[in-house]
Amino acid sequence: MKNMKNILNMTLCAMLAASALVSCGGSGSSSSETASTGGNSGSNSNSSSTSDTVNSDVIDEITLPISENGASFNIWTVWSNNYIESLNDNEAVQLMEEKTGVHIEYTCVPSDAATEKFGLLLVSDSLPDAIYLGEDALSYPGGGDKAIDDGTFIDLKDYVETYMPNYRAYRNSDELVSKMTLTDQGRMYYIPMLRSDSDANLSPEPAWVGLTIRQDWLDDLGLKAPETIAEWETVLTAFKEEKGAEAPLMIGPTGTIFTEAFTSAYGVTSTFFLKEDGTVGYGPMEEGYREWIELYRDWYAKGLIDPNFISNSANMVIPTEYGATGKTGAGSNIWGLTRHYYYEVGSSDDPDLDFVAIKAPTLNKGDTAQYKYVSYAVSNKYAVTSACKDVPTLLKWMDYQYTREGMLINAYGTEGKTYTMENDEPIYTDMMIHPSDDDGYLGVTSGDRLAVYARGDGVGLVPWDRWDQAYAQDKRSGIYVWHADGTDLALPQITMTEAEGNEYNMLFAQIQTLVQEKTVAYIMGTESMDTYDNFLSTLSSMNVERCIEIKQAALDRYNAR
Amino acid sequence: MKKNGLLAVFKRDIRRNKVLYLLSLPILIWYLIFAYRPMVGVLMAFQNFNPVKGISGSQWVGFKHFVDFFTGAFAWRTIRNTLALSLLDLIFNFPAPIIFALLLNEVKNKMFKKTVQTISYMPYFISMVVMCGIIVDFTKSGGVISTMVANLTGTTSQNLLGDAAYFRPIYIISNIWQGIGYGSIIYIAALSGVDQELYEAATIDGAGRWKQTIHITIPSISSTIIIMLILKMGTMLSVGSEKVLLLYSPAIYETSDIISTYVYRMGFENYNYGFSTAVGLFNSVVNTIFLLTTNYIAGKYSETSLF
Repeated sequence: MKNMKNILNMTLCAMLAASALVSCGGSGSSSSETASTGGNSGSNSNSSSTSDTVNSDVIDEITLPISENGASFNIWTVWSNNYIESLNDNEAVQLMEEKTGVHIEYTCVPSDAATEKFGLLLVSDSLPDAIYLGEDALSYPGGGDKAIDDGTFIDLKDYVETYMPNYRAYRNSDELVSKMTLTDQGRMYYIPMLRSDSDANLSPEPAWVGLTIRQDWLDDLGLKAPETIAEWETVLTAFKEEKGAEAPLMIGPTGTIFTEAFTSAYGVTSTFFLKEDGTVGYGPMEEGYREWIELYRDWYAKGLIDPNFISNSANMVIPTEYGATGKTGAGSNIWGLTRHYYYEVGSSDDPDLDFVAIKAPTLNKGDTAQYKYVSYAVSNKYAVTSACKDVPTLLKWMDYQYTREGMLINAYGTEGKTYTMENDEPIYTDMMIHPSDDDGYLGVTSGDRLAVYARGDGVGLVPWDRWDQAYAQDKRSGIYVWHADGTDLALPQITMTEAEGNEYNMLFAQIQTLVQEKTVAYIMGTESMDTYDNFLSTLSSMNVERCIEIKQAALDRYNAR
Repeated sequence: MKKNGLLAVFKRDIRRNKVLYLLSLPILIWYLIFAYRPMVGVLMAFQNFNPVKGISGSQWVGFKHFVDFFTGAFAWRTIRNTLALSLLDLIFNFPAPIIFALLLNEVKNKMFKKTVQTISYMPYFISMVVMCGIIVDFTKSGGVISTMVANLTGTTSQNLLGDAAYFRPIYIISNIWQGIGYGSIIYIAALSGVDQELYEAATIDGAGRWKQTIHITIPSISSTIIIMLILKMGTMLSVGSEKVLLLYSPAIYETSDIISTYVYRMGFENYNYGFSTAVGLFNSVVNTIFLLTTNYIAGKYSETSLF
């Protein structure tokens, strides 16, 4: 007995020691070597030495193959798909490698884990050659200038001038693009994907996400598409009472939806926005935000809003178990999932189920909501890191994708298989436009096909209207409805300095916690509106004014670029 | 002179037991690499840590992060929530496996006993993500549990995880459900070691089942219970963040935002690595104090302690 106790004690002792030590250490992940591998001292001398050689060999044209000896690079990117495991299996990627002789090894992470993985990537010891930053979804803390000063990313300006004739030409052709691609200090830390129309003129893509509503229900009930907040209330009430919708309107877990519909009706957004006088405002500090909360509070009490909104991630897309089952009548959606989508993919038996795009509501009839999904010609950004050994080759490879040939591979795939040329225009073949599942493993929508045979998320030029022929027009027309909303409330892409960023992150992390918590509490009615002034003064005491000041300074610098 | 002596003894010892030393080497290396070396990271708590410059290159800020945390708006709330969850867990979840083991011990039907044991282990092996998904679905308005609660209380079914008041009960009850079977293994093992003659003697003295449990069974496994209690105390403030992260939402931060979820949001969503480490370090220090205190008290009053 005594003996057994001793053995038990010893084992437990060891377990305890191990767990205590591990838990202490867990808070500080390994990082001491990053300084040496980061090579912050090396990059400066590196770029200056290349700028010496820059003038001597500026290239005007990309010649194939770009690499004779099989150059290879590692690119970290956000990508996932149901049909092929990784981008390395994508046919356009393979074709690109054949043409250029440059092998790219993609490290793919799914989008729902992107922010977290990106944070971990920055603290890890081994950086890839290039990192996908999305459209600012993943941003280096402190901004591009900081990343260059830290030695994580490299300043690409001289390289672009030397090795990227095609990108250079596009960049110079558009004022907004050349402004956006510079940092406040006039450097370049990324090469973007550029969007164009079918004539290869740079142009932002129309909004691909926005508010949708059940048109078949509206027709049944003899109602017109709602435009004002008051009309929306009538429609949602009818959905609830006549159609038995348990969640007439779907909203995101913190109350707002992705395109700020409903908040924008009150002239605010849920975060920082551009006020009428051209200065930066913070939504929750404005009177409009309070009015919006009062509206939602009322709607929530009347059962017009999804009672489970805090658990349903309906910020951007209506979850299928709601959209396809008649539990909801309106919410945010992306255009590919509109119209009879649920019936087409078999989630619903109802061929009439019809979600159509609708403009964001306003207070007064005839007004236009001043916020939508803001799109620029400058899209997905790729930063080159200091770990990249052969920057010129990588950039030449990127530049090739701005050529017509490179664009065709990325956007359309393989000639003769996924597209054909008619009158010098690329046209998708039947296997892309009317896909069947004859070849076994692929999905039945054009989007599934595109993910396997072409790309649209990489660097280079991508014509956004290629989707028009791949998709049924009834769905595609939705983007032009959303596109008609304004952008007056939208801030341009501004950058904070390192010091500003540190201060801002510290302050705003806490402010955001409070704002999300209180917003939800007011909407659900768990907190009395009498405490709203308290909430505002708490926000002030958390120094929200300083955050606005920081954003304003960044905006001023952007305007001065 | 003495040092020389020690060194000589050590050398002789190595020569004599070189195989044993060799055997212990991998474990030693494991500890150095995975337990001691990462502790250098604690230094981040005193820095504006920059992942690329590393610890040697980042700017030192002294105790700024600690001051920021304790003067911030959420310090007291996160500490309070962590303590509350830990205490509730200790009160309800610590005795649950013991009681379960004692009850099982009284069951004479072997078949029934084994079946109950197996079934009770099962929840432990369900992935945390799946389990939390189930909990979230069941507690939504219209979910199984919500409807049950609504029928019992005569209200309409609501989203239970949307109400700050329900978070703690949901967390604790699901914890018990998940851990009761697995947690009882160690007690069942201890129970099987109890000398059967003691029970026979007690029966002859006229002790019933209840008296036997109080006077024989519990004293026999008390050392196991105390060791488990000390271990539990050592992790008092380390409430599992995964489960809370999967269950909480801004609506119920009031009761569900704990130190580790706060650290997670600060560190990985807002990139305040230094701040995050400072709060984590505070957590570890408190844990160590709890552990040493419990160990001291246990050693003093019951002669069972870890070290």
